[in-house]
Amino acid sequence: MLFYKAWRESRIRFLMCAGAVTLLCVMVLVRARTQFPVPNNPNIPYTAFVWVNTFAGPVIGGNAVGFTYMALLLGLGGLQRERSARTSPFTLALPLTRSRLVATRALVGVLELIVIAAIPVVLIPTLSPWIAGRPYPVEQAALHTSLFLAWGTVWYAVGLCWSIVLSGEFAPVIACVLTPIGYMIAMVNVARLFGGSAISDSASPAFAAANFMYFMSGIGQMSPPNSGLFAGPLPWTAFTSLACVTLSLVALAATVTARQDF
Amino acid sequence: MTQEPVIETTGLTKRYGHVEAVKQLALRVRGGRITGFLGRNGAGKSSTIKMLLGMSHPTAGTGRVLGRTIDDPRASRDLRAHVAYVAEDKQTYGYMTVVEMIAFTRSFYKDWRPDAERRLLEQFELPRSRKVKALSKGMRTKLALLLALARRPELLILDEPSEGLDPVSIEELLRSLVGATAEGTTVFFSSHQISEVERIADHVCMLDHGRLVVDASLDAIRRDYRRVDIGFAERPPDCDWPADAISSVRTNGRQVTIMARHNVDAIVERAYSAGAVSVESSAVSLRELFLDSVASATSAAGPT
Repeated sequence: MLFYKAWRESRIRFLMCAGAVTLLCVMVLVRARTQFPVPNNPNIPYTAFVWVNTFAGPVIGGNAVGFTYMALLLGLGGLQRERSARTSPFTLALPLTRSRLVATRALVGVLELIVIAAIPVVLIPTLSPWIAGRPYPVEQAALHTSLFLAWGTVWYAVGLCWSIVLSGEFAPVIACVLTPIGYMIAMVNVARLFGGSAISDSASPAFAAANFMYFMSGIGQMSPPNSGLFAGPLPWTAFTSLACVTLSLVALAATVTARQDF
Repeated sequence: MTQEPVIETTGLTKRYGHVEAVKQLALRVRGGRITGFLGRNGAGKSSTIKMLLGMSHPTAGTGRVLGRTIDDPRASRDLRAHVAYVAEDKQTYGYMTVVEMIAFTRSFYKDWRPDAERRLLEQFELPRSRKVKALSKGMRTKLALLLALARRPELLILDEPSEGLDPVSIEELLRSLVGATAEGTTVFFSSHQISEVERIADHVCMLDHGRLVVDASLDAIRRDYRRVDIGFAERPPDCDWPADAISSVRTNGRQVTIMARHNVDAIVERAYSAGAVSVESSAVSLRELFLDSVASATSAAGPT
């Protein structure tokens, strides 16, 4: 029943995000029907058209930012929110540890994120022949989605942490809005120190993984460049590192929650 | 009926910044009884209850509830399986319906009683399919009470349970609490309503400025506590009253009023030997005792 509670508390946010992704996928296919091949650049392959519009965005990494904010939004809620709604005494009187409360919320949130990320995997390959009149390979959608998910779970955990550390209605939301911006500013400056550009430089694999916009767009995994085709092995080292960051943030959230007074 | 304390605290202290909400509290609540927990707003009642249930951490001191340490997370989880709690706000999840809220709560407790659930649903006339956020304050209170009373917990802790209830519902609540005790549940409830405490409690603990100022059974209060009004012909002399027997002494002109915990005879004797012209002793109501204790504690605490 704790899963049910976590689901009920996040389902409106989940449905909003799922609706937005669904709309994006359908709009991409409708645009492909009318605007593909691109009149002023007829050599662009269909995979690149879908990639730019679905996974990369008009500005490379733009859609990654959108997904990032969805993940952060899903991470909000929890006991601090309940404190404002004055339901935290009821929840805390249940025979549960606070770690279990946090873990359940995290699990439900990550599952929701997986479902949202899976929408393009299901919709684009399925609807593409019908709407755009062209096939799109399901494995390409799945590979691009895996990049979204790897960083998406990190951002979810960041949202979870802010929702635990900050009380009130607006403070966690403001923190969630500012964190990716602050992170990118920091990335750009750190990259400059090493003589590169954090936005587009893939010279360093560590920077490539740490730059969420670059990583989620999949530009570093593409071959030939700008083909929209994900090539080569999955970046397992980056996946493992990001999973460790996510788990560490969830553990931090659980530790902070255990020490809080309500 | 067990006589072991179900709640026991030693030096329990809670500080919020510079404010000490609970000070060195030594509380003992025995099993199988109804204990009223009295105090003014901000006296530290809710802070104490929150510490007992592991919702906030003591700044100092420790406590045990049902034999389990309150500041150990796992022990606290275990004890909460045996404790039913109704919080001051009585808020439950607004997005759930009454039936969903009951099903949700039921899933966590082995001591849930479906027969009591049905009876209370009928008695409280709760609209099953209505969302909690659409319930009136009274209805929300009734739902919170149902979620606690539909179980057979070892300990029932209620924070201002009658707040927001109409007189008929208060009557039903008080009967339910007495009934729960008859079935072996220990009831510990905080209240501002002294008349309610006086009606059903066996024991009273009064808190003021975070300190325990009275810890006595209601029988002992009725039997032993007395107000002694002493009249003098002139300004009352300085008198060495038996300190262990008195709760407070107030002087108003030629009149001295003493709140005695016991040993009234010794006080009367001392008054006459000091030249008193009239001495009158009368029983003390819980309200008088409460007001006197609060006034004494306030003057002892001094200006803050």
